[in-house]
Amino acid sequence: MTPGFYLLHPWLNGSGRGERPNGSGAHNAWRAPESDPLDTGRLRYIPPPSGLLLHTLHGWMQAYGEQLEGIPPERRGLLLDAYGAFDGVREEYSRPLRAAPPEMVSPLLFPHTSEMSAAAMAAILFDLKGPVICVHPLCPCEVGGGVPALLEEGRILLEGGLCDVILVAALCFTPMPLGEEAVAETAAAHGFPVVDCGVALALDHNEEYKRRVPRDVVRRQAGFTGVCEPLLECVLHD
Amino acid sequence: MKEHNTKREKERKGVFLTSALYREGVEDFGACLEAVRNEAGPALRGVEQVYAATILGDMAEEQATLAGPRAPMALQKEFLGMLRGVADVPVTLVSTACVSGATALALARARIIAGHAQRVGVLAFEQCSPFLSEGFGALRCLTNRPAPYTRERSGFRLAPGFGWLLLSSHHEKGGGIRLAGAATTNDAAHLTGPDREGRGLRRAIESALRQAGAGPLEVDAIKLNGAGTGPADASEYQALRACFGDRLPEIPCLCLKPVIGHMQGACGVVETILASEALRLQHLPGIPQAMRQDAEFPFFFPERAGAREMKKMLLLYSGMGGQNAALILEREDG
Repeated sequence: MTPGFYLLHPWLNGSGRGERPNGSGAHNAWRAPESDPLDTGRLRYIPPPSGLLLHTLHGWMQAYGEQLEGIPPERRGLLLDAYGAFDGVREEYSRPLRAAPPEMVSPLLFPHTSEMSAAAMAAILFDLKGPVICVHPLCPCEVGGGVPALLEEGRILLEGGLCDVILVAALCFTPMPLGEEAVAETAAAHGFPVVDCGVALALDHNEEYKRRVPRDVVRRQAGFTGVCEPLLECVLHD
Repeated sequence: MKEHNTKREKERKGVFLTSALYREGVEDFGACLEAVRNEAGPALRGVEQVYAATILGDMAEEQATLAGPRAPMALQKEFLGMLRGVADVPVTLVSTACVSGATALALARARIIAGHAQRVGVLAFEQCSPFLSEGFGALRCLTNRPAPYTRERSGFRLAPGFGWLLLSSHHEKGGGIRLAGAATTNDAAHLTGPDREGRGLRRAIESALRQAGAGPLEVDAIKLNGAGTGPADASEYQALRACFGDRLPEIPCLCLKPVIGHMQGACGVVETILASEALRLQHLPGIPQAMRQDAEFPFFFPERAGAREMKKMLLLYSGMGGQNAALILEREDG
């Protein structure tokens, strides 16, 4: 198996099986070809958490994207909480990185182990040229991140006038090399099933945004992929 | 009473660097926190929020094996848990590649400016793990002899380290260094490389200057990013050229990565600490590599260290994923 195998393997939809090389992940419907409206198969080099983020944001854009019209890309930001989502990718990619000399490894392999790359791809695809920031506010549930605290960070960016609208996205992604056993363990530890999912919503300016004054945040509806009740509850009730 | 309130309001608008600590070559996070606890302990009182800046998304394989399959997540949790042990306040992890530290400073400043806190700590830490070394090696941007802005440029040298900065809405003693502006932008152009025209970085500079209420003529020195790759050098030069025009070759520049190495997630905080010291002491270090400088990028690097009158300094940071950050430090008169 060459180091490039992991990158070229069509996890997302090329094989039609929607499985990772280790056979895990087949339970996630979003990876099936019919649920890939973004055609992420074109983007051959993206790991699943990045695909999940793009898919989630795409869902939001399809539903509410017209609301961004009139706001210049320089005033649109992205706040991403992908805590732990890339741990599995790092662990998996570290093997080919170490098994082969640098000249034999795709230069794209290493960047894709970072959540920042996922955020950068989203910035490119959705034309977000304001602050694009990956954060994780420590949350007692330790599953999807502290969504209320995440929203607070978004609000601060808006109040500070650093952007006019900010997409807030949170990913919950099981480190796949750990397999189904880890999923079951996590579910047992937290008392609810953990399902790969992404949530996106937008915080935006109010009518006074042009004056660049501290303002209340108007919350827009969420676009989401998959099912993750704790996250959605945070989003819908915060 | 009204006058008193106005004075307080003026104080709140300022964001000052009030306590700083950094170490080079430290790879043990526990030792870093111990240093913060021992040396910056009194300054921790009253901190309302901490931003932890790091990439730290990796660990040695042998560690993973020893610690079990959940080690990567456990390491980050340990990082955050230990941090909360030092300052039991809300902690937010910021991980935006090499701009993590500068982004954390921008978030901390925005939190204080918005009136949500008066004292915010920023701790940045980075290890030099084999994974990072191998990853940057695959990107062909590692070298033992970093030489940004020269024809011999071949990348950067990774270095471990940590830095701690406390931002406060007021400064008790006379003088002080103010974080007058802090902005981050994204190029939205390329996954790893910068926008060759430097448009994102230019927007960050303009935004930071606007926050500081300053114009390009008021910048007395520039701390360059200095990643040491051709595209990064070109992008930085284009952005600065667009902002400062013909005045650029007259502004003294400072570049720290060839000296202290590239601390990735921690470089934003550590380099800000060093630059603030240069500003406070009114002393600019020299850059010996100026002799071999690439004529395409005619920055002004003083060859010898020396006293220099400076009021405002612009600090630039760029990172993977098209990230840019610009900070404006301002020396307050005592």
